[in-house]
Amino acid sequence: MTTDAINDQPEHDSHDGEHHDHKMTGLKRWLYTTNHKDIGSMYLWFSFIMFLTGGVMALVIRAELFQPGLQIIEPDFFNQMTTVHGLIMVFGAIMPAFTGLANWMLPMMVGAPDMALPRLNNWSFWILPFAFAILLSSFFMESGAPNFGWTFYAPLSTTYSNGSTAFFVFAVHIMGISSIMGAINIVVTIMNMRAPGMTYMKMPLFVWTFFITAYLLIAVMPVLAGTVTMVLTDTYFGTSFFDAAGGGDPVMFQHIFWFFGHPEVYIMILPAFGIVSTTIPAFSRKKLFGYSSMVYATASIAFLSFIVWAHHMFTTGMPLFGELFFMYCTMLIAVPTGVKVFNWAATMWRGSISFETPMLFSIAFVILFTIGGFSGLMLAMTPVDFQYHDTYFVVAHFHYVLVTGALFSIFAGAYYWLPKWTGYMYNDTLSKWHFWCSLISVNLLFFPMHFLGLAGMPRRIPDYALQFADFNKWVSIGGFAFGLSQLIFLVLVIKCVKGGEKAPAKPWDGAEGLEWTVPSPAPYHTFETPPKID
Amino acid sequence: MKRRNLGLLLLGGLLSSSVWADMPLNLTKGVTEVSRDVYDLHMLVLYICTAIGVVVFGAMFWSMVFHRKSKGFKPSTFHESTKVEILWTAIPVVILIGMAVPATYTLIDMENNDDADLTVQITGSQWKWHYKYFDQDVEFYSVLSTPRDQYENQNGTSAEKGENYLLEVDRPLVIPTNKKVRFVITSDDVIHAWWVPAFAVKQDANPGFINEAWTKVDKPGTYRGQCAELCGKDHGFMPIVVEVKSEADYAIWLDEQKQMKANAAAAEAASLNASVSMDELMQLGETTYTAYCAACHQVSGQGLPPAFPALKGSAVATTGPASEHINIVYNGKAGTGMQGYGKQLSLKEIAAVVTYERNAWGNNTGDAVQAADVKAAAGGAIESMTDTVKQAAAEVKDEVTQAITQEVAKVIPEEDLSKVYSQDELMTMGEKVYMSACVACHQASGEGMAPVFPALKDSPIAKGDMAVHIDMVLNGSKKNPAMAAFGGQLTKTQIAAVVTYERNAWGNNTGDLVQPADVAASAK
Repeated sequence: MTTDAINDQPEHDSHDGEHHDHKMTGLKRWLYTTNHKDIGSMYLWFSFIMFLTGGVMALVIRAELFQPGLQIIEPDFFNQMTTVHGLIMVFGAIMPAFTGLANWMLPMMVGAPDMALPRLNNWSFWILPFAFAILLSSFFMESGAPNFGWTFYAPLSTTYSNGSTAFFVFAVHIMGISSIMGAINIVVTIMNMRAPGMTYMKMPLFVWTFFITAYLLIAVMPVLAGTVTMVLTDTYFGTSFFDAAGGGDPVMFQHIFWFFGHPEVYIMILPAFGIVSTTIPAFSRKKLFGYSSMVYATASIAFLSFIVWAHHMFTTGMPLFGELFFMYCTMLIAVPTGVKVFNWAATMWRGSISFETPMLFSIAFVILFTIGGFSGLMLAMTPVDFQYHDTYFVVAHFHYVLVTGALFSIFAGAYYWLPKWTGYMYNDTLSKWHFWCSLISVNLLFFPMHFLGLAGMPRRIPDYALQFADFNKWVSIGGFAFGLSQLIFLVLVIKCVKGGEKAPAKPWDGAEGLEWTVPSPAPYHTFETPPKID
Repeated sequence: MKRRNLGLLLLGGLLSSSVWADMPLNLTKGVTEVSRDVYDLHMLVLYICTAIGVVVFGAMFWSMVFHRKSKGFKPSTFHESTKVEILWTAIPVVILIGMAVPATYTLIDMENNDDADLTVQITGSQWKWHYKYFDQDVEFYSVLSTPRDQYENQNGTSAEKGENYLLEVDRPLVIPTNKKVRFVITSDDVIHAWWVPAFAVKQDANPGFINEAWTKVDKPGTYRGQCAELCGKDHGFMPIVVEVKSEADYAIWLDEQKQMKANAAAAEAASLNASVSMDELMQLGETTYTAYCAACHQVSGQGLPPAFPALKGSAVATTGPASEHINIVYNGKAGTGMQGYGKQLSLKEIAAVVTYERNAWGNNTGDAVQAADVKAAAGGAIESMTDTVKQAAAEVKDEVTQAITQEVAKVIPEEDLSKVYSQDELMTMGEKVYMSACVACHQASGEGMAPVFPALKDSPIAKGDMAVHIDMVLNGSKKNPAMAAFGGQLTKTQIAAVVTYERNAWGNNTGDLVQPADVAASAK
């Protein structure tokens, strides 16, 4: 992006001063910015860098698993790879990408000039790179990075952990603080800064899903902070929260962790629902079917997400009553989730559908996320979960939900709003290549994992029995193909930022919403006087 | 036509080729009633999901094909229908209930651990399983038996991988067919999970807690599984193998085990007197080291610092005394990943491995450690109280002492030594005192925890001379440091009561009543 001079600050007026945008130049602009669009862009770039970082770790894992035997790395380093891959993808790629989208789009969608708390916004972004620098720096320690899985079950993460646990704990603390501040900002913006006339039930569904997600974040991030703090004191200060010898309980760790962890998975998928609920109507040229039922379904999922956590723990030796309760509640989630899928299908039904890249990613999202939902339903059944639990079936399940789910929705959103962000249309051919390469390779990558899990391959193992060899080879090939496909997206975005076909204010004829009423690229400041909604 | 035939041929070839036959695609049916129920449930849900998928995705593809802009399809304007929303909320609920009912029955069945014919305790530790048969005096460790050169291929070399690569162990668990076998599962260190797919049993092994599971297998055979919970570095290298034998074969196996155990005990005793040559020690030491130590300390002896220290050139294995080295191998090192191998290896094996560690990789101490040395260095722990046990006992004692002093200070401010109590009063008070001051060591049953904490039930002290008994409680034992002097912690009334209680509870029935005055007299 070019930098623009500030007219009333003569020491800065060096470049083309056509805009009256009040922004600083160079690095200072990004360091000091309180502008939601700048911060949104930084979040999106940061998440993409983290996505590539975590992706490289995934490729190390897949390279080691390409064939039986330990070829490249040691088992302990393999565990570091799975752990940090998980942490980075969850906290560094998916969550900041959604926060970036929220920053860019929420104020424009509700007709606000900016986020409600702009300085908090700046801070919540700028502590993130430090959090991940702390986490990644542990690779250079003698003992290496955390190696106990992103779920850091005690006592593996306490008594038996290596020397970098404190780094992990403080990195997670900072990530949590960032998330909580971002969430507060979203809630305050939505509650206070909607344009006159925009009642709650007139908000775009995108806004609704972020609203509900922000509440989930505020509710569970402190729980995560508590968990890592207990891990810290158990490891370094001699407490025994999770140590039976001192009166603690290692299973209690899992209860507390998953009380955070399950809502966390909805934190990563509810915004995705919001994105495709925006794109599917746009490219079906038809209003979203069942808007209010979509709102209620999102709220129901959010509520249910608090009472299903122990379905991650069916094999820990829960009493029968507990197993039944959590099984029934978990199965219940299928109902509102089903309502959403049916509503998207009904939106497409008898629409006038066209297949621009955002729509392709959205359709792929609905189908592949639903496959992840089906395997989720299978996992909910306690007796069968005893067989699926901690196998590649679970790995397949959550990657369908998080990669073809959350990530694909982020791609859909990025393609949908890129013209608004940059002022240029993206290269359509490249985008089609990106989509089809991703779609084919992601299924080659994750679908055979279902079979591996059913055949009995546990997750998080660096080497495996011979009967798993053929599928693992295909999975690894799919993994490398998927990883390389993402470089197409990188090239495409850089090209689109630099130039291309000029984008009109509203490049999609079926699109609706306030963001399309401002020019492309969106001016530095939008809606300084609120629009009127009728 | 020709092309279609070719396609069919290709498809048929793919489905029937041996490549695909080697690749299991679906969950195993297993060999128990429960595992078959689980399989049926799995297939039921899979079919339901597939059917829903066909309908929903079918509708989506239908619109994608027929309702597209490029075909000039004009969009409809409908966007709401409460009726439809209620319908597609209600129908899934009904389907879910249809799935929940059989799932509930299967689950209730799986969680019924009662009426087992046989109980096996399974203990996970990094990275091996330990099996102990209740009431049979049979127990053993089960360790991966795949040779390291088959899986350590980082330097490009690779021995040919065997048929059961990474799914084979030195000693499998053996259970009989058609018997309900109950597993009680726990862990010595981190969380592990014991999983055999053919039984549909997967249960976490939690340190400090016990979980239960059961199985009843109807087909003899060898069934393989793996640890299913990330448990550290070698999580992928702790397989489970279960051999299911007919009842007759199982009985034979059990006899063999008992014979083996007797032989091992004899060999152990013999090894104490034998002097093994350095060569033999080094040879046995290397085998043992590779099997038990190399996972952490590495074949090169260089370890994986900082978690797993190097032995090559280390103080413990070179300059330090051999007895300290033996002690670490035998008893482990608390607070680290170093397990105690006293239970896992014979004295001779420990002697050999210590010898090996003290002479391999240029450590060259020249020390040859014999089984008798091991017994001498670590043996204190086997036969009588070691310093650690004594210390632990003393610590327990101190804690109890403190707690009681505080308790006493609170409850009884002053006492009347001349008061005479009835037997009932003394017994009630005595029981209370016993339950707070004595029970930690001597147990509620009065049976103690031999050998450190002797039984009081039928003991010569509690049934013998009353003065000696009172003196023991007042002033502690001169022989056993674990027995504290309670004169400063309990009041004379309380000591009178507790002595009375001990002399009359658990069938001791001496009929003796001790009054505060008796205690006061003894104290002078």
